[in-house]
Amino acid sequence: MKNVSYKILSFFFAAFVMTGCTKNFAKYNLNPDGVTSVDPGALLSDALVKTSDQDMQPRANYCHAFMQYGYSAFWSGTNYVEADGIGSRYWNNFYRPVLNNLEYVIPVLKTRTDLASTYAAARIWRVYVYQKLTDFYGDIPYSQAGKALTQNIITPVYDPQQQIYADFVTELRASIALLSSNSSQMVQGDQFYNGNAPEWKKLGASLLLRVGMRLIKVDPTQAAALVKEAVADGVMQSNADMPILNHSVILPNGYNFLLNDGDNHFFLHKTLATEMKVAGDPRLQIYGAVYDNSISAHGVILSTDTTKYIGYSFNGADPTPNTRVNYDIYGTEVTPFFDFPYAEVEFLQAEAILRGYISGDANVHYQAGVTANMQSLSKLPTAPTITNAQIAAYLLKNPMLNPANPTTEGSIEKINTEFWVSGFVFDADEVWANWRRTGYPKLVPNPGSVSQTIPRKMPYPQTEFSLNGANVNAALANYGGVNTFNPKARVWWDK
Amino acid sequence: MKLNAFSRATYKLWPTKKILLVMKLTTLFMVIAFMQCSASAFSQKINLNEKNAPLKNVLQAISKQNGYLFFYDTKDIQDKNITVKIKDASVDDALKACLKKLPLTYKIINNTVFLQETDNIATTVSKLTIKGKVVDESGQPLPGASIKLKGTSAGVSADMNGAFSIDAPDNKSILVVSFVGFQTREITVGDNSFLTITLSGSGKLSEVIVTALGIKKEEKQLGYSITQVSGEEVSTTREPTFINALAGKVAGLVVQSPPNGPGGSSRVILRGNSSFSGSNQPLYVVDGIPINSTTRENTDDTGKIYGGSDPGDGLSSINPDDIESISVLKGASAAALYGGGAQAGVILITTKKGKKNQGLGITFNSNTVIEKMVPYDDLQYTYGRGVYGRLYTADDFTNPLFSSLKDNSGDAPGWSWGAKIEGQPFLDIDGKTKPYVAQTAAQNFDRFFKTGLTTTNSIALTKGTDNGSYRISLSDTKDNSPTPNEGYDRYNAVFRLNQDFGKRFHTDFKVDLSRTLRINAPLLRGDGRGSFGLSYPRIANTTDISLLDEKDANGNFLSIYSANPYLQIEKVKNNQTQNRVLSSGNITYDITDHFHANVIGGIDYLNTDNLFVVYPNNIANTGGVYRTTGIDQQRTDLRGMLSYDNKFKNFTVNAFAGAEIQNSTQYSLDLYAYNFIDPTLLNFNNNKNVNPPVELHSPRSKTNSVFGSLQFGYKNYLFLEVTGRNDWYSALASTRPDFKVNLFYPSANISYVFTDALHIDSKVLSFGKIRASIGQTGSNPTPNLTDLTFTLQPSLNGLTNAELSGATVPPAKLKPETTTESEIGTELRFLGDRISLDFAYYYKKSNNFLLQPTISNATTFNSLYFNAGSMYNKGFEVLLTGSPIKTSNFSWNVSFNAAKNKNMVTALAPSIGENGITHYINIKSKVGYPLGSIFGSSYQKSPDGQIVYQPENSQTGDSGVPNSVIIAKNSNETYLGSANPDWSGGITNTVTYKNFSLSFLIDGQFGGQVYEAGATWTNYFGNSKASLLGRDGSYIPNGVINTGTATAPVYVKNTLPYSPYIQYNDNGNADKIIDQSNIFSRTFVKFRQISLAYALPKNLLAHTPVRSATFSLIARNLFFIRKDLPTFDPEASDSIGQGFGYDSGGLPTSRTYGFNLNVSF
Repeated sequence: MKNVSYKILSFFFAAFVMTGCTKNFAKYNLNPDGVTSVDPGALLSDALVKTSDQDMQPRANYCHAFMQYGYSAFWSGTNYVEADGIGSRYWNNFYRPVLNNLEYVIPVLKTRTDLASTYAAARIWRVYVYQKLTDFYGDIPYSQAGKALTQNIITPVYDPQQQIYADFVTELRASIALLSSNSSQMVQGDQFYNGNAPEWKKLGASLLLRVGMRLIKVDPTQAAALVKEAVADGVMQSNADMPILNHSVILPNGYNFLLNDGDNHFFLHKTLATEMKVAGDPRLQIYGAVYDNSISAHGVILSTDTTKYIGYSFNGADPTPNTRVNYDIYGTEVTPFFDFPYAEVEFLQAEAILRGYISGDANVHYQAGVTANMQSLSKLPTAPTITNAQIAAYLLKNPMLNPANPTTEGSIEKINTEFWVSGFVFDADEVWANWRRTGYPKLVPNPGSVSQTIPRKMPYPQTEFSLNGANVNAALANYGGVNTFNPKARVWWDK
Repeated sequence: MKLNAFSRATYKLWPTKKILLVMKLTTLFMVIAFMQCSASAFSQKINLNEKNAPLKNVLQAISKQNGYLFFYDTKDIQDKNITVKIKDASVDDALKACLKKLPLTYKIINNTVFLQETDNIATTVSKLTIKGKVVDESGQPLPGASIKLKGTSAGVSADMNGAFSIDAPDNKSILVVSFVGFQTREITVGDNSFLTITLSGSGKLSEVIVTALGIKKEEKQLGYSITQVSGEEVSTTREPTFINALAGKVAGLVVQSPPNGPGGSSRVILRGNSSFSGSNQPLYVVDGIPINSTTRENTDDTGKIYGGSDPGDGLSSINPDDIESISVLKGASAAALYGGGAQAGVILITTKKGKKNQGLGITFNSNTVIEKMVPYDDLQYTYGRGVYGRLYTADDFTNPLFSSLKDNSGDAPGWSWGAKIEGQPFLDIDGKTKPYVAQTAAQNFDRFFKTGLTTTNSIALTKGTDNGSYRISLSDTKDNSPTPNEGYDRYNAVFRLNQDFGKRFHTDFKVDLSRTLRINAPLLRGDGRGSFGLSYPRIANTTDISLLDEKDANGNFLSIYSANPYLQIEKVKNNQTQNRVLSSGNITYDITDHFHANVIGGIDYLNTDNLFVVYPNNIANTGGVYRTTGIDQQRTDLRGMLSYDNKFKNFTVNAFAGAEIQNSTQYSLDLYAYNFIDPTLLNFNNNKNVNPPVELHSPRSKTNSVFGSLQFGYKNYLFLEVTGRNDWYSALASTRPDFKVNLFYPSANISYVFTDALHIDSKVLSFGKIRASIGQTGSNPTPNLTDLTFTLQPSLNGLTNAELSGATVPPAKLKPETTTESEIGTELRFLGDRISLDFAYYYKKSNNFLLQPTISNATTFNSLYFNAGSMYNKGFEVLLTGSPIKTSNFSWNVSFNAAKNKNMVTALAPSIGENGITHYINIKSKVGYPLGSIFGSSYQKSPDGQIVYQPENSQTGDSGVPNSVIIAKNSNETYLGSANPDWSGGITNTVTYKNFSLSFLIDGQFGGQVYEAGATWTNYFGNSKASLLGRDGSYIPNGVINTGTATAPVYVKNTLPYSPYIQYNDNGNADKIIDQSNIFSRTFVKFRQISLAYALPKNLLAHTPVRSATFSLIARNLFFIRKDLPTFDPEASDSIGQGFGYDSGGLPTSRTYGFNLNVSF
């Protein structure tokens, strides 16, 4: 019996030892595929990359369609019809994963005085991304977005766009100030400027210019003040200041697979092709080409003779389109992405001068904008070059002062029409916002559409109604309560 | 010697059965030396040295020395003391010495000693010696069976080969033959001098049940419900995955095998859905070792094999021929000893092993099954390819709306919205004009599918030795499924060794090696790359499906119509190879006769490789995809246990305690390349683009546990058991403070055999037991979610990139999920066990569900891991079995089972709120609704309940004044139904006549709905019968139209005809389809299986080496007696997990016919 007791005891001792081994459980339970800490710069860098390597389909499907840049058989945007699966990708691909990184890393950076410039850069980028979201959807979760981790908020309220814009200004001012006082500090994880803080300051100021000009309809006084402030802070001065994301095969440009999707895919729109043909625009043979077939069916370029270009027309009786986006330039994985074209800064300043917000020679800025955009194309694959002579000839033919309408308004139209031409592919979402802000270019809506009205606000993602129902419905009430392409729905600054 | 082996085994396995037997015999005889027999070698020499010792003790002493059984009437030896001293005496001499002064005489028959008063012996001594053999229904000998002469005290036991020899007075004598676990038979001796007596299993009276942790108990001891099924149930009428053969056979067990190809995952649900998260699949324990059985189907598991097909759940690797029995532990009390992970119940699988002292045995089983696809039913063949109720015209081919008709690329080529089919000429998709005639599903299925053939051959060798046994089994399954190029192969090799080392060490080792190959597993869930389920409803009903297979000289499909099922056959390769080692080792050490120590360990190692290839083709517009994934999963389990059994007068005690360590890891590697250089070459390097390999080590978890159980029995009719288990989970641990990692799972149960306790000896109620239990189980938490980590991303431009790992917010704190279940039940048998009834009622409350619900992306995360909800399941189960007819040659057995379950979500975390939890498209959980209910848009109704119609243009594409109506959509999310059946059950009839046995199973489910997304497509394409309603423009629905506004409605009676075309298609726009029109009842009654078996007569085999041979004809899934869902299979589902209830038009079902041959040597 003694022997037995001993055996029992030793057995339970063994059991105790076995189950006592729970001390390393916490470590064992860490995600084995992850790491427990990373350099904050890596999170910022990742956010910058993901801003343009994610699925850009809403930009293509809607913004390209609305702005009559192009046509694809399956872009519901052409008929001003919503497809939630596409429309929600902007939301999903910016909130997650771009803002996921930024919302996490910004509070971390706040505590690091040695990373003040990085902190400022992350805040600038956060404004950049949220502005795209709010301009796309209107009122959006902002103050409570990204607070699931720190405050356990999983149904964030939707903030009025006006408040969001006010915070953009606060954020940009603070960031610009931080970059001024820490100009020698390297920005960690900087994909654009090799960590150069003054360049980030220019980007911040340019963004402030963009934010300011957005307000011309709702608050011209503040618009003028912000534009003045931005220019004083120092906006971008050349294409060298432009934030460009150089993609790789592994982290490709988000348009890569969108531009070769099928048979009836990405034809240039007749509106754009005609405008450019009439203007004698040397960019037309870079934007598009006559293809024998779709890219996915191994289509090859038949011609870059722009006289042969036929764009897609809303009118079914017009000739069949033959001109597709130039895939080798815009569609490759390594095509760099122009996150904020410098040309825009020039066009905005030209308009601001005409509106009397700032002083200067509007025409100089107009010409600088056109020139910058034409020259920037050489940064794309196959490095198409537009010569200075071509640029000069173009400017001669297309002056800011519109001979048909030699008024300030006529010039504003010309500037913003150029803005439109220059924003092809990369900046279609910004061009859509600019069109809503200025009304230019003047576009005739698709007569075959039901609403016959180019939408001015995207519907909210359908998932919000099941996951954040009360808040999205409260926000939707400000837009007529109908979550479709509601022609009457406009974002706050687009009154 | 042989008898001895039997008695020890009896003692180990059926201690209380033994007691029962003893009690019955005590009135006349008492058996001594039964329990005391030990495994020691018996001496034929008896040594005795007793002084005035009770005769009983002396006889015991003799028995101990030589192992003989003694039979006597207790009163004969009472108060008789003897003094005896002998050395090295023979049995005869010893007995003579003992009994010389007593009025007793003895007789030795076959190691059994019968004592009787001297006077009586002469009258019962026999004139006739009867020899014979006792066997079970399969011809296996029953060593130790009791053979008694009716009306006398004489009796013998059968030897190791089941043989016996008994002396009887004459040929009118009646032998009473009994054996534990079998029905007692009375046989008249007759003129036969050699009797072969076949005992059939009583199934009930004394069944030994494998319970949690492999503990064997007699059924009457159980205070909870367990159903045990023999391996034959899954091996004769086989399915590639054994568990599928249990459909309809066990009350409360729902087994569904969605048509996802052979070897695909099965949905196995015990007593309703038990968890919000995970698959709700029970824990599978094979020979004591929990195995990997979780499916990765429809999960975001990063290690999952390509999402377009079902990756299987690992259950199919087990060869049904190796299964001895399956125990289904339904409730929390039965499963509480498994703690976490047992929330959804436990299925214990015991595999076959050799028997000690058994000679060489060879069993050969061959099974051949042919398989035919069952064509989709309920499609319309009145209107054919076309639009607006007419044939396509040249104009349509240039109309931008249908311009894809030109190259047959879009949807329109498949539309059946055309003219009435009357044989007129029409333009088919191949551009040829031919007569407009319907191509029925039956015709098209014949063109597309072939006849499948599955063959399985198994051979098992067993050999018993004096102190052990082994079993070797080899099997090979080849399944050529009806879908061309699709198949399934499995190879199994199992080696099992049982060996005793001395008297006290017993060992049991098993290795099961298996290799399964799934060849071209079908693409599911609407995968556009050729999934048949997606394609078929999208092909016009006047189109010969084989036209889609026509190719040009370059191998390009002539029609680039996207719904082309030939694409998968021709251009998609989706192969899965699984290698598995299931091994276990079990060592028992008998510390004393009452104390036993046991250590069991096992490893389930699973390696799965998948190759997914899409060759460049002109339909899916791919330049070629090459993806190879390898997953290694390992699950180890080590358990130590100490058990104690004893009996004190009226009490029995069974107790055990132990500890366990479980460990589970997964590792996967994913390689992806695309854009083939050579379009026909299959080679990883034949690609223009190669993604960097993705390596994942996840998930990993450890669970440490201690457990114990204590059962008291009183007078063999009252049993009380309490158990407890404490689990420590690594998955609950966090580097942050305040994370509790352990949980205690208690249970208690009571069983009361009132017929024994109250001495009810009615002819009507032959057995009655009531039972009650309460227990707690849990579920294993999802590992690796409690801390925020970062994942490094590919670097770009020389900069490191990293993102937050996963998209799940780590919880602030966690509690383990718990399920508390109380259960009461009764088991009643009537008319000498001819009818038996088992009833159980349970109430199962589950709390603290650990969920990973989807949250708004505006949180910048997409899910949250936290304790989020509670629910209950309640229901009852009935099992009714009976033998309406039972004669020596003919018997009819009926077994009926039914179960009702009700599930209700009772609480969700406030942060989830009204929105509920989305599990899958249209499948959500909300408070007040069953788990996984269907929600979606519904028919708009006026306040007085009439359907609201909205005016539209007609289906001829005109515009202007509205001249038709469709049902208006209510876009607000409405509860549309629940996928869970109200009732499920089955009835099995078995009729046996001589050597023939006919058995058939009908099962069904009542209640429950399905969201049939496939109906969206049959409706949209105008192929469904539903799309016929109003096609001729004559149907004016009885409803109202709102002539006011949405906020101020004015309802007037509808006068316009209904347009199904606008409702369902609207020129290529499916937006007007209302979810409610996709909701169907899931109710079905299925003629599930029929088998006819013929066992070759024993006398025919008498002079051959063949011991038994059985030939069976089998057929499965014959037809539906009732099916409410048109076209598709009511058991199909996109997901076997929480998405259950949503089906995007799965593969068709198949019917199988075949035969099985089982030969034993």
